Amino acid sequence: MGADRFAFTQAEALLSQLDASRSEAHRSVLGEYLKNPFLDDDVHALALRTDLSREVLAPVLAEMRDAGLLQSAGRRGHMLDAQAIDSTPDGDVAEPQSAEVHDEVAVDHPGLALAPLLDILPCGVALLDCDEDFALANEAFCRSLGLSADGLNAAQIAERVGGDLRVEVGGKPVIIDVEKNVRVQLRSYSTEAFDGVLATVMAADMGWEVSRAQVQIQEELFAQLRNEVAGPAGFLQSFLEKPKKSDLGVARAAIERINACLALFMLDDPPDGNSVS
Amino acid sequence: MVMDIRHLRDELAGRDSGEDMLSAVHEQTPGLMDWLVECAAASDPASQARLVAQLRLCVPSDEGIALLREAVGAGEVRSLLAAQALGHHRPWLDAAAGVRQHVALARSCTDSAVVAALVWGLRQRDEAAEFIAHSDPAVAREAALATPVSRRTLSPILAGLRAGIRPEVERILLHKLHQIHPSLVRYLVDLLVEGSWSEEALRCLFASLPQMSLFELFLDTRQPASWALGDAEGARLWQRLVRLVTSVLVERPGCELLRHLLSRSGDDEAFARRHSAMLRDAVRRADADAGADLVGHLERLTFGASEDKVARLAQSLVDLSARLDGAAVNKVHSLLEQWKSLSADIKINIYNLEQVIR
Repeated sequence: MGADRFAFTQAEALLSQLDASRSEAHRSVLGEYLKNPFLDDDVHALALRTDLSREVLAPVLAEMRDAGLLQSAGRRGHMLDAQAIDSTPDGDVAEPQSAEVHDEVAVDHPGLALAPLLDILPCGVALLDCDEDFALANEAFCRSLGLSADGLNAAQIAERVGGDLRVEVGGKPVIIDVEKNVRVQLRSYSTEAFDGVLATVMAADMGWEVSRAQVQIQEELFAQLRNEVAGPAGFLQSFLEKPKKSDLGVARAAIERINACLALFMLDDPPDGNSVS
Repeated sequence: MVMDIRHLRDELAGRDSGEDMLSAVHEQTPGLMDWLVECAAASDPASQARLVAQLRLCVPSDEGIALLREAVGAGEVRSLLAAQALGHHRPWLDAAAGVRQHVALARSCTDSAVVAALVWGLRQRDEAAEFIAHSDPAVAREAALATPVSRRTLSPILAGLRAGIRPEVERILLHKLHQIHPSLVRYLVDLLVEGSWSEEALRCLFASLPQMSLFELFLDTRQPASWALGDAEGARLWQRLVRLVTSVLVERPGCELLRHLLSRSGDDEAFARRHSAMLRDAVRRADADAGADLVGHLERLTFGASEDKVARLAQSLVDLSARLDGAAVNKVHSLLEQWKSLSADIKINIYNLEQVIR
């Protein structure tokens, strides 16, 4: 089976599992993403890739976003949503390790009701009930602090974090430096089902994610500057080297485009005429 | 000023902590290659998707990029993923050497899926154009998608179209040429001399290029390209191109071209005389939507206009009336009645035109 056909079949299976619309367009779009899961094309590039018109593609993409198959990437791009694949029946959603942890700690503790929520959170989170020595932690939390998920309890976490958790958490959130690049924030957490402490790992991973977001913003800015300033400036340069009357209109449009971009970033001349003449 | 933060994390890590600490952290934290290996080995789509998300989030350093290149070259199962990750994280684009290395890697790779992924990494770069004529359909398709239309890429694009590429690749390239910058059309036409083109290939090419640029270059200018003046062969080719362009433009005239023809015909009698046949043929082939739009355009053009101008445009309006139906026809008739009231000559003129149409 060729790669194209394989991706197409996978797309078919995924669509049927998610009960999403199953038109040819849906399959075709999803097939492209499955062939290259790093794809982050915008509508225009996807239209060219799939030979679908933008009018057809726009609602298809919206539906697939709603179905959780795709998510936004940058300003106009779309990328495959790992969460959607995670939640398909065939996907290995339930972490076997954390499920065992849930079984081993106090089975009838009301905090267990929150276990499914913890499992889907991307960052390390734990719920602690020091009175009953109860701890419910997701895999990311255990990994970040180097704890074993087997038989995890509040005392173990308190020892790892350092200090008595009940003393640390009064009213305001407390942040404890566990080690370099790993901090744990502790705060009181009370719901109908649970009354205790919420511990969140503020690991370097989170910092990386912020860096990634900044990189993405920066890339978009560079792309915008390339399109709106560098391109027109290049044309102006060639125009100045070989001025042609027929290109005058385009040159004027290039200046306007640059000005519009500068105005967008509030870098144009101030209206009071302070610019260098 | 924008600070480039892509390598910041590595620099900070190197500065702030000792080597022991760094190595300890590296030992604890799974890295790029670990995720790559895990992802390639993952049996279920869920874990694979999670690891791909992880690979997307990480920002590889120069060392990471080198490792990815190594993984691509290794020719293992993870090669494809490594190539895709290289295409996603593209700090290597900042240096010419990085691009050269990437192109060399794509040239040397034998697995077509990996080559296609590497070519995807060259998107919006001129270097992607050399893969348009690749023997593998997936690579050629990815190259067509990745290639921007620029002065450097026009030659390989035209070479591909001339040589006869797969319909899918041809579709993508022709679509891209449709959005070519008008300033590049003259250069493109100059490149047509380079090889022998079939009538059909030229027709497809011209049908994809911006109509206004073609009209101005071939039909409105009094100066043919310099190569057309050199010898008889060049002159013959130019005439062949002019004939083809006329036929393509008349076959499916766009709204912009029709508006231009009408505006210039109204303003310039010499232009109207020169292009009257083309305008008539083009108007008769305008689709209903464009036709309704043109009626409004004609109404604006003739508002308070001279009798001469109205007389020159009357033929077009009468021709248009035959292409339209519904409310648009009523609008044409009311406009014609308005024009007839301008003078007896115009009234007779329009009456005669209407008789010919019927």
